[in-house]
Amino acid sequence: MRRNQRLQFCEYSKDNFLAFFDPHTRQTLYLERYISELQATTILWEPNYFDRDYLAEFASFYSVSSKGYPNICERLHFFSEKVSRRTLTAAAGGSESVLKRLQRGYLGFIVKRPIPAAPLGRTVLKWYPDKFAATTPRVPASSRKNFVHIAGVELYVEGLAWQQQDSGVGACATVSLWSMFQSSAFDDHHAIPTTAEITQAAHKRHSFGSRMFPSKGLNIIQVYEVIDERNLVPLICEGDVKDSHLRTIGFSKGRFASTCAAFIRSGYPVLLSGRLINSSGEADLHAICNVGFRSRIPSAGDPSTPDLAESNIQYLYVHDDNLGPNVRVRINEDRVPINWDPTSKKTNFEQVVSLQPEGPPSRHGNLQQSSPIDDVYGKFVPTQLIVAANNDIRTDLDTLHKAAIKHASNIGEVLNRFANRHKLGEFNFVVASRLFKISDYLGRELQDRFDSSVKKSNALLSAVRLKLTENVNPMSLHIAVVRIGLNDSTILVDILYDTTDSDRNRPIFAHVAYYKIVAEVIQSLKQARGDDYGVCVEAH
Amino acid sequence: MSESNVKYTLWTIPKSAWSHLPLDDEEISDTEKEKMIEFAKELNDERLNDQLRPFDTPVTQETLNKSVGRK
Repeated sequence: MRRNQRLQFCEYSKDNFLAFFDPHTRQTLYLERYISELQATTILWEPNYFDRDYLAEFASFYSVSSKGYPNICERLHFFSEKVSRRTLTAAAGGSESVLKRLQRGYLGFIVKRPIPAAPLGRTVLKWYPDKFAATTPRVPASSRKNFVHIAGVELYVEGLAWQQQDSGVGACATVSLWSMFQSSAFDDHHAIPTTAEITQAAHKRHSFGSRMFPSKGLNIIQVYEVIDERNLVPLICEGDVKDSHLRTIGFSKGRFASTCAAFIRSGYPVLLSGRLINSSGEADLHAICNVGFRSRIPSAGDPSTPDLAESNIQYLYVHDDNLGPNVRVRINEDRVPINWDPTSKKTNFEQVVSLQPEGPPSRHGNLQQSSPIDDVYGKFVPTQLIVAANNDIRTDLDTLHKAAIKHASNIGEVLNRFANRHKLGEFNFVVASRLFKISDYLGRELQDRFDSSVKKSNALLSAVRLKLTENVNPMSLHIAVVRIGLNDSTILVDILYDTTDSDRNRPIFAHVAYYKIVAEVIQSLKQARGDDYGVCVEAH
Repeated sequence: MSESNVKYTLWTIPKSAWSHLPLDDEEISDTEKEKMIEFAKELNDERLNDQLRPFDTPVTQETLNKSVGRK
């Protein structure tokens, strides 16, 4: 039986951190660098911690191993402030000011499992501060507040949990699904399953004759089953680049980037399934979880074709069980052979997305060591994107993107012809789409677009919110928003879709027209083509 | 518009940073509205086929049976 032990405090240093773990694994080195960049100064070590996930793994697998694994973990907390026993004693005694200081400096935690091959359990670490938060921010999938309690002192860190793959109970797909289910988009009705529960759900109806534990990985039908078991709906996007046998090779950049961005903006982490190609060129199947991306200003575009505004993003953030949490990866395009054309006697090539870890430069002068992951990992070529969405959502993002392109193109072309007629030049248009909870759209999203310091703006905001509430048919819990704008990000119109109907029913609730001329153009499209844009809510 | 002044995305731009649309200053007469309808009638949806094609990729049976990662 494990004995009671005192909490321990020590200064954060590379040596002190690596003393807790195998100092030679990629994950450990990555975490050390990440925590150093967060400017950690203190490690608080809980020598005894019962972890819900590990207890489930223990009950399913480790408890019957002859090795006699313990059922208890350790937990390490990290702070950017100096924390001592005296600090914790004061916070435990109810000192509000000390508690605030502890919370301000709290960087997150790592659970250390008693499994030598995979000690890194549930890990949540703060994101780095964002220099571009007001303009082109890092966009994380809806992360939740993860609360911890140390001697009755409650602290929290926001983020999606990560853990190292423990092949006893799960493979990379299992831990990616586990990270996906941490999204706060599911907070209302869903408990987070443990990795053992995910593997059990995958084998409930589709074992394919394989044993459940140790886990050898999942196939896509099993991933569907796991998502369905959580009362969520699986959405899958297949890579659009095919070879001559119509086998999926990967994704084109525009589709991949805009789809990932739209899902993440909607609050849903994305499971990326594909091929991991090491630096020697050998490939194996792999899955990672996309948890965020760095937004970017739209590209210049072309007046004749509207661009998907986020098809040009350059960086995603992923949880990769081979590397660590919040790993920044660059979206590259590789030229790959697709088929041989006997007529021209040439090989045809296509561009396919690949992801390569590329950490940001050190923010601190004293941390100039190279990234532990740059040379060894190779690259990851995604072939499918899988998302667990709320059950009431019946629209998929491909359909939404197609609608977005069509609307932007039609509105843009009429607007440009009208502008030409008045010798006012041409405009370049961009379009983006995402899902919203109706309360979030009417609330924060509209609020942030209007300037609250201007009285006239407040009156307009109020009028728009009331019109959307009173003049439009009752809207679904989740709506899809297609936002069309100019390539300097000026917003022209939001088109609000019902997500609970079939696509054939043209389910548009309303459009919010931010310029008078746009409302007129939409009216002309309605009259000329019978296009339905729902109720016009004028916001100009 | 000058691209160098572009700082925001479609989801971060505050209203104060929006461009002025000179088109919005025009009073739109009935004749102009008729002209707009004419432009709208002339739109040809086939021009978008190439742009829409990547989003028309059905999931195959082969994909459903595919393993999702072993590493």
